[in-house]
Amino acid sequence: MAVWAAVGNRRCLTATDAPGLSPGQALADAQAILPDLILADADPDGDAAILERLALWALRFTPLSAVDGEDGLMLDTTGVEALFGGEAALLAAVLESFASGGYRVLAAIAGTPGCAAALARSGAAPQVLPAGQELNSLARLPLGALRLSQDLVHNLGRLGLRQVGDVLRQPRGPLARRFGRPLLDALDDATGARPRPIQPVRPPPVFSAIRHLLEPIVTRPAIDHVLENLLEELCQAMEHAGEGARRLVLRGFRVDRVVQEVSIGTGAASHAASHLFKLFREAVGELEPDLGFERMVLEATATEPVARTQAEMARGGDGTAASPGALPELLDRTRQRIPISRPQPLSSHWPEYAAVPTDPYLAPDIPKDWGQEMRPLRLLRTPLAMTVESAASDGAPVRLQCGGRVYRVLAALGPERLKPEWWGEDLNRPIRDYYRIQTAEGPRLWICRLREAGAAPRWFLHGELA
Amino acid sequence: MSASDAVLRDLRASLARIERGTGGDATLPPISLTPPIDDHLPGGGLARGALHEVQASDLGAGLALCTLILSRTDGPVLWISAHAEGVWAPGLHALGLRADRLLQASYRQPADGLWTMEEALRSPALGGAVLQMDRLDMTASRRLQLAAEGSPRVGLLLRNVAEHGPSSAVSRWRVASLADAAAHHAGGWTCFAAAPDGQAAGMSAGMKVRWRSRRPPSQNTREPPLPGPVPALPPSGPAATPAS
Repeated sequence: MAVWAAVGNRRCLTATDAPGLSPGQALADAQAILPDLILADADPDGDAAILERLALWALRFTPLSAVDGEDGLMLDTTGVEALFGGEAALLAAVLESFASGGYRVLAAIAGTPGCAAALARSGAAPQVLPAGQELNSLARLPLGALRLSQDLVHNLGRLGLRQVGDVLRQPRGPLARRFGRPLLDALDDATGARPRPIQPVRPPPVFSAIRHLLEPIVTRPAIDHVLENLLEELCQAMEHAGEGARRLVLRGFRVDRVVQEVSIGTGAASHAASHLFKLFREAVGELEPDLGFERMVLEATATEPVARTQAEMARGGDGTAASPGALPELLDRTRQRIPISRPQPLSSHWPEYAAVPTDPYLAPDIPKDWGQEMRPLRLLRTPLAMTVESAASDGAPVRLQCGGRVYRVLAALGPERLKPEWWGEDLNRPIRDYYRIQTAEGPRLWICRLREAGAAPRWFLHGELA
Repeated sequence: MSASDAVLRDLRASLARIERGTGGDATLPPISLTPPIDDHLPGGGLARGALHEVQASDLGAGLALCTLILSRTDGPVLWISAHAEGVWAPGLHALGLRADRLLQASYRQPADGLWTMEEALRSPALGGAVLQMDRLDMTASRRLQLAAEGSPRVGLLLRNVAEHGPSSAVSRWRVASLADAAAHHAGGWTCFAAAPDGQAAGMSAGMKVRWRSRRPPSQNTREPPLPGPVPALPPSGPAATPAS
């Protein structure tokens, strides 16, 4: 079996497990050597996605897990080996874990990231390098382990430099002149002369709680129970630190090496476990346990300080006052099911732009001129076209017909004229005349007449007054 | 006689405790609308911790009564309406419900609207909530009533009068707009006829309510009542007269 991709105008193998073939070989050669070779197109995006998934999975060993290149994972195990009973045991645990998931991996533990990566890529048996041995063991590795380009390795080979140690013994100046930066960068990286930061696949959380499960859990009650425990632990830690969660991520590690994530956000920082649990009620439904979760992790990925408030000792007044502190909790909960907004006034006198729905957590500033004029309690989203009879050609209406209903006008107030805003973009809008109509039938209507140049005025029902 | 009365009273009290689960709570002061109406309501006002139903002949009048009731509560209010049927904040503001107290929710499925209303009535954050929903069954309204019970909040259920069915609201109000040319010409007046019925309201005849709405609500509520028929428009303040 082999995977191939087109490199320039050549078709090369990118990976193979067939004996006698190697990556980089021309596809035609490979087919000549092994006529019944099974071929597959390379899928770099798919590979990257799987690698990221595995990096997520590897978060079970250390909070600092990163994708390394196109074919590797880098785990920073500083300080975590004690949890597994030593580095050798940790390495064995990692290998066993990937093997049981169906992945064959090469691994190494070393003092510097570059050295570990080179050791793992050299194809040697999994090993834990004792401290201080990095340079010695690197020197014996073939140059191919440094992830240099094929041409570079070939050119170095023509000079008789086949092992990392051969190159390390050369003076740097001539090497740099002849082979450029990539070679020196790779060498510095491997020896640890230039430290390289790890870009973790997920930033390590400040607050997190973990549950290892003896038996994989599948059912909703079981997941809820675990979540409750996790929340309790996390909220206690956050409360102790005076912080509240703005964003929480629940990660379920599935038996088949898939990690499932759901997250919730809050409008105001909170460390109330019962409230956060309610928010997860909808989100947990999206988890697919499949064969079951064997480990669940809850992390607070965004936190903010919470202002501690004095618990209310006695309710002041007659007990009818609302407690606005509870509003963010209500909004967090209800907004998961239906949209909730506050009206935000805009500086426009067109009724349709007067108030736009906005973030419900912030109270808007109300302009002073609101409340000066009677305004409809309900504004039609799409104004209804209506037929209107007026006494005079430009006068107030006397009879309205709208949607099959006829209204006699008892009294009309108006017109209130709205002209296009000269500072706005819609200068070409027609002028509107609004009338407040008291119909003889009872309802009060807010109707408007559009004045367009060179056309008969058109009438619309725009709102219902009280 | 007196002994059996005492027994009956005890029994009623314990039944009320069992039914509502609010035994021992001091009763909350009711919401005062305007004295002529309050006089007809048990407890001297609209009961808190209860669901009230407003059956509107036309939407404007129903929205107006809901707004006027909510403008007499404290704290934010949640207005839940079907999608694309929301209220308009400037109009509510002009009628006395400040726009910075208003939270609007819109539901597409009735179940979502009912759930949100229940959550709102249970939350101490709000002063009250309105649900605009024409069709709901007895179970749903009972749930809402139970959610409001024992709290200082008021729940309003705004329905079309043509769609009304049974509900467990504590009081029911039928409102319709009133064609009043004089009031309309004066500007700033809201007129509607309200007829409370149901077990809580002892008023059989309807009331004509005229509402002066240009002033801030804090002043509006303290206006002295204007008893009797109102031939000419009073200078300001709410006025309610029995319909003749």
